[in-house]
Amino acid sequence: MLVINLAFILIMTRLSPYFLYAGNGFANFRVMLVSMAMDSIVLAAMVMLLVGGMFDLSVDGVVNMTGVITGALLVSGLNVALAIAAGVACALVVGLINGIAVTRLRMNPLMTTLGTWWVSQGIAFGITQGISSHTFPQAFIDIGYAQPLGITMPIWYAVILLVIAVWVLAKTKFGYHVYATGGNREGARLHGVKVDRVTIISFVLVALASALSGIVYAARLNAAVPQTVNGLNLRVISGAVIGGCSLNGGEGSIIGALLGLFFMTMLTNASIMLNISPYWQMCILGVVVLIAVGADALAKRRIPAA
Amino acid sequence: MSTETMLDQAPARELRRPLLELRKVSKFFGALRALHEVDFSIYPGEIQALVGDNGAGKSTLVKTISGAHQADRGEFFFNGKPVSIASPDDSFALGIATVYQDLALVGTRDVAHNLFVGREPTRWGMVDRRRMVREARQVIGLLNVDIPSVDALVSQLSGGQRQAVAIGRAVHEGRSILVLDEPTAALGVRESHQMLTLIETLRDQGKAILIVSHNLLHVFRIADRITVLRGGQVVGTRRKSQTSGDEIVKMITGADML
Repeated sequence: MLVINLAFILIMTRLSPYFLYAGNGFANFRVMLVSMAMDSIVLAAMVMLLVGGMFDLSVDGVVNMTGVITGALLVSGLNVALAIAAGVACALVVGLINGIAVTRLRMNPLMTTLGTWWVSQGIAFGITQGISSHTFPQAFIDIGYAQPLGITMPIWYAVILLVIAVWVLAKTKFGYHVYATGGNREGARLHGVKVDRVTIISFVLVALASALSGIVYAARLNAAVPQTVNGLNLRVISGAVIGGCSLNGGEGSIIGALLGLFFMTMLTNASIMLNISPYWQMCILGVVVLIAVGADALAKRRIPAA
Repeated sequence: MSTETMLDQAPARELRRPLLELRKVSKFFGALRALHEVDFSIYPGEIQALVGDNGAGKSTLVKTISGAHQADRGEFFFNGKPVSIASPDDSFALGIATVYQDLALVGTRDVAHNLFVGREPTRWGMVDRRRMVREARQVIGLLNVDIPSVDALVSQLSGGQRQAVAIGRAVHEGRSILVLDEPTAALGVRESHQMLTLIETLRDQGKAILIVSHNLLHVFRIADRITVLRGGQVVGTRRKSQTSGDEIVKMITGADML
């Protein structure tokens, strides 16, 4: 994946110097990094969920819902901390519902998170009634726009969350249990791993990461729009799978997923740089995802699973 | 002959105290009665075999002892003291280790982790990988099996090697009782022989061993006592020296003994 990424950068730099460095000092590349950082906030938690053998489609709805609830409360005059707490609390509820539904109630994760996606997206539309709230206090805007040490906030969030996620997955008992749960859920349970708890915590972490993402988006846009993100869930899951996470669980790493997401980000960006019609971008991304998942399936066929 | 009269023929009660004793244990899955008032004991330094046809309740009984299932009724005694086994952790706390029929290994993880899944050693809040690898090497060395490396993924091992990993894990954590569900089912002739020898060694070390097997040849080679299950009920328990293959087969199938 690293090699593919570097090759892609080289090829794109030949095709368009603006891709990497030309213009205002790596301007395009910085745009890509910030866009990737925004996605990485959710990616950090999603990788944990994928490794544990689950996935979550409700991310978009939760991001939009959190932004809209927090935004509406801010505009109504509530103080920043309370408005954020309310938004995060709503996201937490969605995460708990997802986790409990797929474990205790044994509901299908695809249908469950599709359902909670609709519900949370519906709440975002319902609250706004089509009218976005905007013009937030400076303290809130700083959450998205402050630049400690000259580095913009989304990059801080992404780096901190990614580092924590790497540490949790690779070093902690919880991380080992996530891998065991994803690799053989029943086997792990028989050995005393609290598999349901692992899954519920992972769903809650994805919801909390989505909440942070929604708040940062609202702060950066200085507006809470019910369709701030659309397709973030698929972008993050696809990036992770391209980067080596298995949808069957048990396999994958943060670094790999990040490289996969980087590839997806570059691909989108490149199709703009190369003047490919935005109407065709989706098609290209879809083809790439299909190739990646196909390659994964082929590799699996050669190595019999345990 | 009815079940009741067969129970009357069971050998005289042991004078020694059983390490683990189950009294009138029942387990239901909805309306299905998987175990019915099972009385069952395991003694230290003995190999206790559990035999029966498919669906007789062998695996259910094993999982009840290992804490994977909870008994709906009945009592458990460990060293004569009443205990409850409501989870795999309870079973582990009593020093019981189980090797399941499907081995319950995580194919996407390496040998070292598989020997410790659910009980990873930690140091300063983090998994102590070094200790895991060190102890894993010791366990594998003790078993005298050919496993390329403790870093190898379990999905890349052969059936026999996987079996060895699962047994290694149980030997490592089973301080008092080892429960082996079909330990030779996936093995070739030579590997089976090694496995049986290993089980005898463990018995001679004083461990109590419960072995579930379809293979009566293997059962008769190593078991000290044989308990037959049919339809979730104990048909009877026999000392190996006081029974024959014919009798056990008849007890398994329910055919008239006369």
